[in-house]
Amino acid sequence: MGVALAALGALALALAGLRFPGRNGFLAFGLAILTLIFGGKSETSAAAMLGCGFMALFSTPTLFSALVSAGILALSSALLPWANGGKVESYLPLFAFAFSLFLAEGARRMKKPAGLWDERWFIIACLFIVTGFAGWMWEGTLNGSLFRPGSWAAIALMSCAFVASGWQKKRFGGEILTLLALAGLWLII
Amino acid sequence: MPLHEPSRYLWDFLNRPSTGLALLFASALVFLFPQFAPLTLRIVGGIWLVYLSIRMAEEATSWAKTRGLSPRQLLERGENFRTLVVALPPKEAAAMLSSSLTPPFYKARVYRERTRFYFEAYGLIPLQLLKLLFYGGAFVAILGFLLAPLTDKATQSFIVPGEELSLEGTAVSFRLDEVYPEGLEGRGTILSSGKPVRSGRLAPGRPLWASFNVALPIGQGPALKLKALSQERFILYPGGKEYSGELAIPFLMPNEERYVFLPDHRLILRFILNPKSDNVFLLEVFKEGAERPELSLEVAKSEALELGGVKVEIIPIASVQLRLMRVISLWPAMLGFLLMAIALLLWLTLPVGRLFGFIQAEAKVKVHWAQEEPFKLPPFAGKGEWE
Repeated sequence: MGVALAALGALALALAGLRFPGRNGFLAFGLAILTLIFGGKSETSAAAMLGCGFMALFSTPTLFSALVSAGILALSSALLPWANGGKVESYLPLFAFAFSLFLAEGARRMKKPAGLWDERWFIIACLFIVTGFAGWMWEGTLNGSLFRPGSWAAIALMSCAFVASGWQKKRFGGEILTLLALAGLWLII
Repeated sequence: MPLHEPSRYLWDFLNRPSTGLALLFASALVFLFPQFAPLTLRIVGGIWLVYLSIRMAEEATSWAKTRGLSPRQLLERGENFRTLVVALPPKEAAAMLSSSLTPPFYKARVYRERTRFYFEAYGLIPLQLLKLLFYGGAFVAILGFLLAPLTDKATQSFIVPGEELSLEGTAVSFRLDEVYPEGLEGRGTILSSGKPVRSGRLAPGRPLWASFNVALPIGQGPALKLKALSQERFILYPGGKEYSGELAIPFLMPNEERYVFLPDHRLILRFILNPKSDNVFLLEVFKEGAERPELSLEVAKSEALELGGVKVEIIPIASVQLRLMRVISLWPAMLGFLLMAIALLLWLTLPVGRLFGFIQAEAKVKVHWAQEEPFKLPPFAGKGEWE
């Protein structure tokens, strides 16, 4: 599963690279190769790369370099010492995908303020977070866990923070959104 | 902007970017001091409930107040306009707008007032309805989380076939009927006040459900089964529970000792779980009152012994670590998530809310418009250059 997700992420980045020849295209191809090598280290990091690849695929040339930077940040999660390839919970890739969309949006917003863009990505990210939470509760119940707040509560709170930041997007800087998203990714990896 | 209603003060306080940052700091605190996690979550969950209640009230009031207004009346009240430069003459730009805002997804009207073209459109779904659905879903889900410590219960223990596990504080119990040799699968029955409610197979990840009650195996442990050919009486210690003809004993830890008394023959069987092996036991047979065992042997596989004239088969078996739960909070949470997902999917796929705009013909032809919906652009947005 992780390898398939990483392959899809690398494909999305490579296709995005084809759209923009030159330095940006070269960077995207490089990132696609790195995703193939490292992205499959865990399903979570692979899903994060898929999210960034997905955003890069639909970005405009002026924002492409920002999205490649977001991709590099997302890939950093695969290289962390605590990255755990043994995590098999299916909801984690959903969270990772959502966080990567926030990460990409944060990087994009640092380059150019939001305003004139179709921001369906935000609805998609929220949908993945909602699905992730539902999957988490359902899978937890099937594994014999009751909902008891622990360290996962932090992820829950952070997701709420993302939603709050999304509603307030015109006043919420890209830097903070990027940091929040990166922290979220690093926590769940 | 002055605020006159108390709810507006609270709304304004909660609906700030700093709310997100406060939540982030709360998250960091939870990681640093995990003992405060339940309290933090309850406080933050409570704040979210208040926040969502106010948002729902706001949306409902706004819907009631503005539903009769035209898109133009609504959006001329201070919305930001967006501008698109199109490479078309005004009349063709009006035709392009008319063709892109098509029914049934939009109810649109393009019209001319003096020299200027105007357009207004109603999306298929009112924005306030979707927001109400989303906030309502979040409210139900968070309420489910907050009530979880009060409504949900769980217990777990190693049990063997025939044994029952009760959920404290409820009338619910579970009886393990059978364990299949492969893996952790088995059959069991959920009982309510001693009456069977639901029977069936259960396995890790595939629990047995009976309304809000769930039984599932989560682990395996060593156990012994004693089987007499006749209806021999066995008394198990610790506990002193009496069995007839058959008895299964789960062992929970290495070196654990269990005693079985055969009252008709005044014999005591002492079983010790060997700490170095998974399912190997030391068996010692004593006559009542004797200090030394009459028989001592290691039981690693099924053994048939003659004990005081009665034939007893001793079979190493597996016990099942069973978890019995009452999970009421799962269902409101799932309902909440479902409502939120429906709202988001509708939002993602269908035109939402109202929009209003006009065409300005100067050196360039520009389409200016305002929309209720904050995230998605209307279909004509790709047919020009942004200004």
